[in-house]
Amino acid sequence: MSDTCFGLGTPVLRQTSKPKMSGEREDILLQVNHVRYKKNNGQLYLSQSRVGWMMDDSDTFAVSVQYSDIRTQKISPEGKPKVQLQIVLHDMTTHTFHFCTPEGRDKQVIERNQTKERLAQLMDKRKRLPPDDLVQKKRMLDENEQLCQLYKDLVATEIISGDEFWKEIAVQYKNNMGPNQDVGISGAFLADIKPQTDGSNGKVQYNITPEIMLAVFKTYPAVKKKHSEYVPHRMSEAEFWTRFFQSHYYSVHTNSSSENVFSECAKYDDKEWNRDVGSAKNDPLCDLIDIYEEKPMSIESDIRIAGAKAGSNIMHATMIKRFNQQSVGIIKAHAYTEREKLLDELAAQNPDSLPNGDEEPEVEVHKSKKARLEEKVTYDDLQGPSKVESASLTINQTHRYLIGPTEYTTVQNLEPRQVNILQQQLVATVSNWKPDLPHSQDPDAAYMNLQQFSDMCRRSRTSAGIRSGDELPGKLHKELTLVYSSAGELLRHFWSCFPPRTPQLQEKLHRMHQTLCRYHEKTIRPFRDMAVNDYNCNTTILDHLLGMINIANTKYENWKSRNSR
Amino acid sequence: MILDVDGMPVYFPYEFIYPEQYSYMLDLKRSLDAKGHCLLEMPSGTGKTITLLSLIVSYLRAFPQNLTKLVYCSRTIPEIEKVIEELRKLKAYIEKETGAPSNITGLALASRKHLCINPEVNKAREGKIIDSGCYALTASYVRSRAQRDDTIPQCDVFEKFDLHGKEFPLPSGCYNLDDLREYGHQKGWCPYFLARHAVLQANVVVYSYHYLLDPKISEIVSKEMKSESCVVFDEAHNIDNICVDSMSISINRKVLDKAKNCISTLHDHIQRIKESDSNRLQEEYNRLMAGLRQAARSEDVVANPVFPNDILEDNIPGTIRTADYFVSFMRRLVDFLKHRLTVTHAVQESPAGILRDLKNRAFIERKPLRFCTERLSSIVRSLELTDVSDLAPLVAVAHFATLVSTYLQGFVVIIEPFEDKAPNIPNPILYLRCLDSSLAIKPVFTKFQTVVITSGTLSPLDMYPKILDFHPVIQNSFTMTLARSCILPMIVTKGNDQVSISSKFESRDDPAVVRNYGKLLVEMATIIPDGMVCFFTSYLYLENVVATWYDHGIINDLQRHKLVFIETQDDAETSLALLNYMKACDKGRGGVLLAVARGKVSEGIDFDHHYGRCVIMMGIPFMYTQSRILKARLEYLRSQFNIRENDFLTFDAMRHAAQCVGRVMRGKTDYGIMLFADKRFFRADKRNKLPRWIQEYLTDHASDLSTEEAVQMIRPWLRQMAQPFTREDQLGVSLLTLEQLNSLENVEKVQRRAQQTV
Repeated sequence: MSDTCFGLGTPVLRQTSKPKMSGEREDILLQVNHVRYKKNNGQLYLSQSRVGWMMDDSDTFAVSVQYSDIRTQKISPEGKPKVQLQIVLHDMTTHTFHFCTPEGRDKQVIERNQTKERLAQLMDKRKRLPPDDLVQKKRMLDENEQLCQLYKDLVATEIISGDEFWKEIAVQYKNNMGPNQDVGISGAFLADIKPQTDGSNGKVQYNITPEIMLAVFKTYPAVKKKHSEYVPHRMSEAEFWTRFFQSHYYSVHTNSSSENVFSECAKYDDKEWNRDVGSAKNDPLCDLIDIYEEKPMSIESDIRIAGAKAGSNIMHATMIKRFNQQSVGIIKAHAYTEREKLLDELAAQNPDSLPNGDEEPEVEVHKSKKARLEEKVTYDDLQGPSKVESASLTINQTHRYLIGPTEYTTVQNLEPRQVNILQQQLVATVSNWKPDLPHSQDPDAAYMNLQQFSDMCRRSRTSAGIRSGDELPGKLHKELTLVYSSAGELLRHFWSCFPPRTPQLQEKLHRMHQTLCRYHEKTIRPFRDMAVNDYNCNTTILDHLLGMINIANTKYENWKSRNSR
Repeated sequence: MILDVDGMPVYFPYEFIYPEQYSYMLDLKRSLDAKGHCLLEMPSGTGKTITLLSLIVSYLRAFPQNLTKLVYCSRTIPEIEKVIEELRKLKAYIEKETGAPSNITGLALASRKHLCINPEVNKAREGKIIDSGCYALTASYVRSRAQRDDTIPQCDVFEKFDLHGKEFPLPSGCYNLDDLREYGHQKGWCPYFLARHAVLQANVVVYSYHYLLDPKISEIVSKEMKSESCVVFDEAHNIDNICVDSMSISINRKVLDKAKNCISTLHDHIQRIKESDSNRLQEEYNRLMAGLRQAARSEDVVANPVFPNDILEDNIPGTIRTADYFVSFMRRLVDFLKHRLTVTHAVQESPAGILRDLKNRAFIERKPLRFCTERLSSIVRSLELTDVSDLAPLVAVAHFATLVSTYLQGFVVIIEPFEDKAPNIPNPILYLRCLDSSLAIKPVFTKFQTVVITSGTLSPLDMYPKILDFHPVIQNSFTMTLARSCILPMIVTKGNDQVSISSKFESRDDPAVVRNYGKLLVEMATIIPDGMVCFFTSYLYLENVVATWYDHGIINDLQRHKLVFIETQDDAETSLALLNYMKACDKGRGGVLLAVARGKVSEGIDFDHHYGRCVIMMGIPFMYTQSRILKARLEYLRSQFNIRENDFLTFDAMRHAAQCVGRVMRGKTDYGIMLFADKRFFRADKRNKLPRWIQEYLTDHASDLSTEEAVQMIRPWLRQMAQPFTREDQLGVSLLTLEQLNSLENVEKVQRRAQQTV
């Protein structure tokens, strides 16, 4: 029997002892006995991260599913003889568990519901967790080659621990990575709510998730407002959403004038819409109203008595308008969140920053009309390749940049007359100046300097061995670069601890010093040996680096001796 | 680069040039040399405007004795502004190359609505009111009155311009509408009149079609242009309709009621003047008696709707010479028209028939009718009326009278009890329709030595010389030389279930067809990145289809992939939808825009690069064939020009379809799919009417596809197009350097390539 179980491709994990579900020890949160799975008796376990089922008289899990893999769970309907719970995975495979406590059907239902609730909670928790830390770290390493190299050099060789690496070194990179992008709202967020019919009594059930609610709120601010007004003072959450599904928002055919909760929303939306329509006129290239020249003395408006909308079906026209409204709402929701995020980020970067004046009213930044026309009339492929890429500076609050510190002038103002006199004097001096070359320098000193220079030149010419980078063999050169960059990074961190005023900084200083020493031991020395032995290089190639490390060491020793005193 | 085109140096402000641009220049040069007209079709998005400007401006520099001015007509305000920007670029380049300031002056001209800077006047945002407000401040008699009386308000900027502005020519440069306004602010001069004044002096004038084609406007604005000018009609695929429209008038009961009110006010004015200053009317009478005509003045509001050549050189007949007679004459005319409007079924009559009826019932002769507009203009001047916007209905009636009595050929009068679109709202309308598009453009052809008619879609080329009645010295259609096939035209004729799709009347509401259209759109939305645009044949069809799609859940499917935006009949709402559609494309979400062929979106907006990777043409955009106006025009075209009805209808539908799909391309680095979804596109008579540059890339195996097959074709194509595309790939094939144009042999090769036959 158990063989057939495994043969069906259910994930099997090698397990040694009962409470252990995977490599790490996990606490069992809920255990239910007498649960059948594929006609085998066993126990169902819920742990922190997964749901598992184990057959009686076995010590391995026949079923073990991560919560994150579960799409949804289903329960058997009320009237059915078997009390079952089914979990559906993302790849649409299902596992059905049959609760069969001998204590009777009621107990079975209780157990099943308990499991369901708990499972729902746990799944929810899993889902809400921020995207896996590791994923993010991996992304950072993937995107930053240098960081990745540093990681290899420092963490893989255990010069510093992984945690420390992420805490100390990766922080700046993280800041440089730019903001994470928000996921926008799906265009079909309403369409994706699939009503489920009950089969017999004609009851229709809508399942709504927090995500959908959020999407609705973002797209229709009016609904959000209504929601905060009505729920829970005047109606329950469920009632609110029932009404929502009856309103025009969900079924665009409906004319919701009879229905008071959302008809106000419709009015609000229309007002907003009209405002947007008004503002759209300002865009010079999308403005369809003015694209044709109007003829003077036209009587066009008098001719069309039925108006421009003659012949169109009012129902269809409203429907079309609502589609447009929805799409515009989605676009706008995105714009809002982006802006909010930007502000949050700014606040997070320097938490105790003083606001520079009041926040400036948001001005919709249209590219100037001329710039856009210019863009339109330019053909990229006909243009020569001479365009220079230049970085642009985005100035959010211009007045800060226009007002600098006032100049402190020590120069006394001269009268114009004096300026003239001085100028004349200067001209006179310059014209009368005769260079006195023989006496401009002490001949002995000059001779000595010259000798010194030529001596050095000669020495450098004769000195054997490899001096500059491009004479190094390619591989060695590359490795040297890596060593330099890693050491440089560490040194940067070392020096950033000065002056070590706080205990944290002092501690970091110690740590960095140790790290440096270890790096010297573990990387630089072997590298030097290798360079000398394998490539037959002069050891001088590392002189500069070692010099830098020595300076750091000396500085550290000095500080330590001064501190211990 | 400085090119050598047929021995003439041409300044071209780019380092590279497309082969078709060079060939275009050659043809243009030939027709300028021959002082004849030409008809040139060049693919959209291959830099037509800069080519035209480069060659003609260089010609102006090289042969100032042969050509003195370029008049560039475009259709929309954004287009006009783009032309000026391109000219600015060209001018900067010429100055850089020659090292000396050039004396090119280019300016855009538009109505007061776009140019007025008087804050009192332009606060009204409606063109009509601004015009009238301006007139009330700047009419000559208002100004002379203001000199006597300080309380009468004047327009400061106009006065300043009148005092100082006229002597000084506009400094050379390129003036867009914004620049003119700014210059006006700076100098304190009225930009509108400044522009009007500068039109005569500028080398390059850019304005909309009406300024040349509408006799009411061209007489005022463009009269003094010299014949040594080159007139360019860009985006001219629709030029025949503009010609026809500029000489047509519609009148309904509301207009007549308002006209009646106008007559009453006119009468009151006359009575008042009689009491206060009877001399004035007497003077007018004497002047008319003596047959002294007043030249049309730039400030006239009531302009003649017929061409100057067609105005009778005669005295105003006695029946309408006195003011009172004229008023009662107009009253009779309005009453007659009102009587004619009481119809229960549609009536079609020739102008002669109407004239006979007028004579029998209202005792109105033909001759006074012809002078109707002129007489009205004179009385408005004599009465010194200022509030001219109210006069519009009466002016319309006068225009009708003059037109119907002047042209007996090529016009038709149709009276319908209701509008086509709204058959349940009684609104009888009298249409005076011009049927002959050659009428309005004839003076342009005769007056100017070179007229260039150009667009991305002019196929079939021989249609335009016929309907516009002119003889081009050169007519040519250029292909698009491509280093990679960056346009993918395809015809989808059936859905996945093999049901053929078509927008023809009998099957357009068939659920299977609508569903298949929906499926096609959804399939495309899943595989095409960024933006896509879908054109329907009419607005009503769009509405119905969207409603059906919603019921079938197709809209929901569509929303899963892209945000949906839909053109509505309200321009402002559509602008907003369009703006957000572009935002959606910019953000990378992608959007799909459902729009209407012949609508403003299809005419005025470019969907270049990621704003449109695919255009779907759902059905063939035929005109509403039941319309009596169209029927009358078809009848006329058949009898006068020997054009078969079906040919013209197909021609018209295909040019609009091509116009819609052409919006997707801009430059050769761009790429886009042109999808024609109708089984009728597959037929030879439709396919052959597509512009050559589209036909050439429409292979046989891409012209009878089902939805699935289309998807199969698009997928690898998109992948291929997404690869990096460098200049090296293009060089020599679709992009040329100066060196490549140096030898004669190469030039010939280039020309051959740009004119590959299908």
